[in-house]
Amino acid sequence: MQTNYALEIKGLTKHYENFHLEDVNLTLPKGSIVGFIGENGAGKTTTIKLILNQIQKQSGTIQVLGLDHETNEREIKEQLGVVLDEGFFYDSMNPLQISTVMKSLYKNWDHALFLKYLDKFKLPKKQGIKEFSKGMRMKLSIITALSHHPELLILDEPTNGLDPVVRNEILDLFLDFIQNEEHSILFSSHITSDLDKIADYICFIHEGKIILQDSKDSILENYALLKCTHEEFKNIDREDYVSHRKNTFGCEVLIKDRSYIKLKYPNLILDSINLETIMLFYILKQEEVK
Amino acid sequence: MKALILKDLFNIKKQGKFIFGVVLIYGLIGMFLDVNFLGPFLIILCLILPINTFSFDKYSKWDNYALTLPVTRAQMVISKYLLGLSLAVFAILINSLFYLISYLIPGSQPIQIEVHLIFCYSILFASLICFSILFPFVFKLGIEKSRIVLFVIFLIPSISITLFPELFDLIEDKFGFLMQYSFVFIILVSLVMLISIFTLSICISIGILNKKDF
Repeated sequence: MQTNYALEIKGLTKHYENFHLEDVNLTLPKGSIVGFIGENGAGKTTTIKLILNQIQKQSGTIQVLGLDHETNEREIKEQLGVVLDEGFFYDSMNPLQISTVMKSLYKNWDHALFLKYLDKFKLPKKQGIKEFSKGMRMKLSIITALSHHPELLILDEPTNGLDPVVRNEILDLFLDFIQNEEHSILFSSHITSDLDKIADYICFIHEGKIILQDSKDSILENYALLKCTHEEFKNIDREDYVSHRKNTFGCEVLIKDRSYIKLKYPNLILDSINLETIMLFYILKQEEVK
Repeated sequence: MKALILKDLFNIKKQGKFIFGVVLIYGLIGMFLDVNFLGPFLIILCLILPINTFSFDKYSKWDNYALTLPVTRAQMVISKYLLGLSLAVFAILINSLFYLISYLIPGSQPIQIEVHLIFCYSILFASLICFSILFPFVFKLGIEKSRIVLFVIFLIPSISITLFPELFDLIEDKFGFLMQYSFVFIILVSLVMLISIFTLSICISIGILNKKDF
């Protein structure tokens, strides 16, 4: 089935005793990177597990590359490259053994490409994974996910715990991958600075609910941090901001329509904002609601 | 499927030298004392090695990763049973090899092919029955809790026989009628039983894994 989306999730729900994933709707346009952000325990991994059929959903539909994720599971997984925060081959195995196993699994496994990646990232071919550093493991995990020419990459916290040098190397690899317009990435992370660099769209999940989903450029263009005194804050209408944070010197207020606010409150200072701050203020808003 | 078995074999290979050493010692002792020490050891080995692969799977969170690959849950189950079966067949081959070598030692007892075949079949039967009982528990409860089941599998028969030696007489009394049939017939009947139990166990394990959340 032809579709413009690499991933399309509608009305997805999953209930646990202490956690509920509620009516999740998420789209990943082909040729783009969606940053799936949220704090630890927000529901990112649960959503990914549902996409991968590792857990059973209560309701909703998931289409991956235009196919239903349950009925076409094997077909989909041939086209999918997945990197998990936890879960990979045995520590005793070496990259060449991994390639041998993968060759029997994937129709399109490209051993030459795998070797090329190993050379590029200076990973030893015959050394057991247990002797690899965390960064080397993650690189191996990523190049393993890339070596069968997948169309969609699903990454669960791929840069978690890595130093900035390795993180940049890995982000470059993703940017290379996305050069092909048919390729797409769902990048789940709570390290929003990585997504500031490479994401095209942002989907923010909090306590099992999607609370913000838009293109990154649009978010960074429209959202801003308004800084004002406590007195000035009292004059701001509640519907004009998302949430606010008070400190000794004044108030920081998250607003989501920069041009409108600029017109309405011309004397107040508007600062540019990053994804992390937006995420923090949205969490504050949810706490306020509670 | 091949890939899943291969992954386990790579792991077992890591312990290869140690296993080879122990098999060699047991085999040689058996050969020179003219007692089959190797057979019982191979049964235990056949049981331990596939169970160990479950432990390694758990440690590396393999199941989570496997479900991101083009692999079905049924294949994950069947691969474990096939691994167990392959190891049992391999154990039989090793046992036969030592048996044949021992025949070449001057002064050893003449080769008794029928006895040897029955012994080999016993290895296969015992291993596969143990897998068939244990694996559904492993898929349901995880490897740690299932070790208790493994313990019970061995403990109940051992304690029963030790505490109640008259059980031997009871078994002989109840199953003595089988002696009127030929060995071939008994083996064929038990083989049908074995295949049925093995298949049923696979189906139960697939059912368990299909419902499992990872």
